[in-house]
Amino acid sequence: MTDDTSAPEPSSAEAPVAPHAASAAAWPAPRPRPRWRQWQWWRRVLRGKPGAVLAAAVAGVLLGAGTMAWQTGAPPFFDEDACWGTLSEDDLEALPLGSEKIRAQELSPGDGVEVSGECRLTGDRYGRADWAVTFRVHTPGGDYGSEPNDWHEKFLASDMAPLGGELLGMTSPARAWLTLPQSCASGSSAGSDPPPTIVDVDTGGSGRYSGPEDDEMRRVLGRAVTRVANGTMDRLGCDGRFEDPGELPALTQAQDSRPEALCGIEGLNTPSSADEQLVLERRSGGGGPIRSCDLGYSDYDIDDVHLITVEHPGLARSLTHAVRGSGTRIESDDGDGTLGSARAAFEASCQTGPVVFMLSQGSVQLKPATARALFSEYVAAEAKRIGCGPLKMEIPAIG
Amino acid sequence: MVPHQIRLSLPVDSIDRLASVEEGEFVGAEPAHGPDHTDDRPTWLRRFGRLSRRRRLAWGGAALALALGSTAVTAQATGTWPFDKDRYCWGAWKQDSGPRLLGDAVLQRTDSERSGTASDVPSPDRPQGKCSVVMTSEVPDDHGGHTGTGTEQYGEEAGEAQETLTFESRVTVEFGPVPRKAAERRKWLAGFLDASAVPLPDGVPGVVAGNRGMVVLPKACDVDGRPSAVTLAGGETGDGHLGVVEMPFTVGSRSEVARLMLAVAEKGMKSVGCAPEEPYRVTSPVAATSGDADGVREDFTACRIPGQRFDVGKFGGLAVQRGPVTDRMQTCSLTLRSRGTAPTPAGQFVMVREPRLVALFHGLTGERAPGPDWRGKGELKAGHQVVRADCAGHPTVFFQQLDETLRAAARPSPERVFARSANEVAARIGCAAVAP
Repeated sequence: MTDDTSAPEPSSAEAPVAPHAASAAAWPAPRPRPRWRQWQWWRRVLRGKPGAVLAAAVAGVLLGAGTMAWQTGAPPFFDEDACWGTLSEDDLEALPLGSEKIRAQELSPGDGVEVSGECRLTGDRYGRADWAVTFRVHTPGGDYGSEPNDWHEKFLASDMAPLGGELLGMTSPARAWLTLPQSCASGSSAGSDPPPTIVDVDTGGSGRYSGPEDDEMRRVLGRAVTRVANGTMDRLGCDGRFEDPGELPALTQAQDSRPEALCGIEGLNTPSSADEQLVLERRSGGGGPIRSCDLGYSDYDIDDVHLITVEHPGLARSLTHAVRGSGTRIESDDGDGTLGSARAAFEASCQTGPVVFMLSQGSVQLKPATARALFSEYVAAEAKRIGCGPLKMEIPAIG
Repeated sequence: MVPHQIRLSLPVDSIDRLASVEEGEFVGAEPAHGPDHTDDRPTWLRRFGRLSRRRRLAWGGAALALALGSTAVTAQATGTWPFDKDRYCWGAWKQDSGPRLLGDAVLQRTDSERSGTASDVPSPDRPQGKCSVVMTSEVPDDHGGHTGTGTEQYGEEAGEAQETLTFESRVTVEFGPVPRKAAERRKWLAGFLDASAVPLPDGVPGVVAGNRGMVVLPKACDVDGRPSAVTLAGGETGDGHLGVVEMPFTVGSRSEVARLMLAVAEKGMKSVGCAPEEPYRVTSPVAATSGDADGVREDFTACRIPGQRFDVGKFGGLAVQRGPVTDRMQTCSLTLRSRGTAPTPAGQFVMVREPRLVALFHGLTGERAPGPDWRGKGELKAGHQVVRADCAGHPTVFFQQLDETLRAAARPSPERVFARSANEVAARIGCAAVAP
C-alpha cells in the first residue's frame, strides 16, 4: 500500500496572504521522502532466493551489454548516427534536405561478400518529400557491365575540385567522392591497379552554380564523404582514418574559349570540318590526377563535349568498359582504344601506369571526322603534358 | 484539515537504532521501516543490513577479494595479466599491442618463445642503437627424414626419425646516421629505398613495406651533415629437412610497421635530445602501390620508364618491381630471386624530391657536373650514377645503381640508360632535362 503524504490543499475561500507562514505554524515541515521508499517495487521482486538470482541475472546482462558496447564502440541502448553511425545531427543538418525529420534508408557495407553499401537520406526540402541525398559505397567499373556506365561523366566533370592532402577524391556543389585505400577494399583486387572502391554522395544538383552557398556546399559534401569513408573503414576493420579536407581550390566558372587553345591546351582547336565552334568551356581546377573540361557550342551551355584525362591507375582501369567498348578500334603501339558514336576512349601505358583519355558527347554530336580529329589532338597534347609522349594513334576513318 | 498521521510499528530490537535515523537520512542498508507494515525486504538483504558495520566491511572485503582473485586466475589462464606486459626496444614496443609478432596468439604455438635484445639506448654522445625481437618456435616435421639434415630426436633410422622444424622470425630496428662511406650508403639505399616500399602519409618522410621500412629523422638529428634514420627489417627462416630456408615474412600491415618505426623513432629522438615539437604521426591510411615483382627476360623496359632498357637474354631469375610514381618520388627495383633465399638487389633507379629523402644522398653527389652538358652536380660511374639538380624549384636527385649482370645488359650503356631515364622522369614531373 503506498503512502499518501500530500497535504490537503487550502480551500479557495481562504486565500491566505502568507501561506508558508500559515502552514509552518500549523504543521511540522514535511519530512523529505526517505529514499528507502524506492525499494518498494524492488523488494517485491527481489524477495527470497529467486530475487537474488534475478538480481544477479540483471546485473550480468547489464555488465555483458556494457562490455559489448565498449568493445564495439556503440552504446546498445541509443540509436546509431545515420549511415552506419557516420553522420551526426550536425552533419545531417548541413546537407540540403530541409529542416523536418530526415529519414535514412540504409544498406551498410560489410554485410555481404562485396564491399558495397548505400544510404539514402530524404527530407522535405522545398516541401517535397522526395528530395534525396544518396551516399554509396561501390566499385565503379569493377564488375564489368554490372553498373550504369556514367559514373565518370557525372563524378569527374569539370565542376569537381580535388580534396587534396592524402585524400584521393573530388568535390563539387552537387556531388563528391573519395576512394578507400586498396588494402581496405574487398579481396577481389585482381591484377595490378584494381579499380578502387569509392564512397560518393549525390544530391542530384544541376551543375549550374552561382553563389557562396555553392562553395560552402562543396566543403559540406567533402566533409560528409570523408566521415562516411572513415565510418566505413571502421566498420570493415581497416587501419587509418582520413582527416577532413583542407582548403579547396577556387570553384571554377564557365568562360569563353580561345579558338586556338580549347581548354587552355595550345594547339587544340575545333577542327575545320566542324559545323560549329565550341565557344564556352569550363575546366576543372587544382591539378591532381584527374583533369576535365566541358565545352559547349552556345553561350549558355557546356554540355556538348566532355574531355577527361585520368592519370590515377586504378580509376583508369575502371574505364575499361569505355576503352574496350563498341566502335572503331584505335590502333597504336602505345595503347588501346575505341571511337564510338558518343564516346572515344584511349588507354596508354605511362610511367604512372595506365592512363585513360576520354571524349564524350551530349545530344548534339560532332561529325565522326571531327570527333576523330579533336580526340587525336587532345590525346597528343595531354600525353605531352603528363610526360607520356609522344603517342602515335591511328583512328581509321569510319565507313 | 486532518494532520497526516504516522504510525510506526517497530520490532522491539531495533528501537535503539531508530534514534540514529535523522530526518530524511538513508542509512545504508539499515532497516528503514515503513509506516504501516513490517520490513519485508528479501531475507539476504535484511540479514546483511542487520550486521554491524565491521562485519559488513568484512563481507564486502571478502567479496572484493574474491572478484580480484578470479580476475587474477582468468588473467593467468589467458596470459593477459595486465601488470606484466613485456616491452621491447627500450620500452617503445609493448607486448600484445597490435602487430602479430608482438601478440599473444602467436605464442600459443607449441614451444614458441619470444625474446628481445637491445643495445644501449641512443644518447647525445652516441646517437645510435639497435634492437630486435626474435621469436622461435618448434613444430614437428611431418615430412620425414630422408635427407637427415634436420634436427633429429631419435637415432638415424630414416623411417623412424622424428624431426622438428624450427622457425625463427625476427624484426631488427636500427636508429642512427646513414652510413658514411659511399659504397655502404649505396648498399643501404638498395635495401631501404627498395621499390616494394610505399611512401608514408601525413608528411612523414619515409617508406614502408610489409617487412621493411625507413623513416628519415628531422635535421636536428643529423650527424656530421648526414641524416639519421630509423630502419626496420624483418625476416623468417625455417630450419628443417631442407636445411635453413628463408621464407616470405610479414611483420604486419603497412600501418602497423609504420607505427612500430615511429615508436622507436620517438623514443630514440627523445633520448638523444633531438625530438621535434610535433612528433611524427601517421593517421591517414597508407596507400599501397600496385602488385608484385614481375619476372623478366630478354629485352625489356623496366618500370615503364623509357630508357630503362636491358637485354638479359636467356638469363632467368630476374624480377622487376615498380614502386611509387609521384611528384615527390619514383622507384624501380630489379632483384635476383632464387628459392630459399631472400631476393638480392641487382639494380635500382630512384628519383626523390622530398627534402629529407634528398638528404639521404648527402655526400654522394659531389661538387661537379656529372659530365659535359649535364645540369646539376653528380657523377657517372659504370656501377652507379647520380645527379642532383633543381627541378621546378626543388632540389631533386636522380640515382641508379646496377650489378654486373645489369651493367652488361644495359642498352646501349649504363650511363645512357641513366641519362635517358632521368630525362623521361624529369619530363613527367614537369622540369627541364638534366642530361644531354
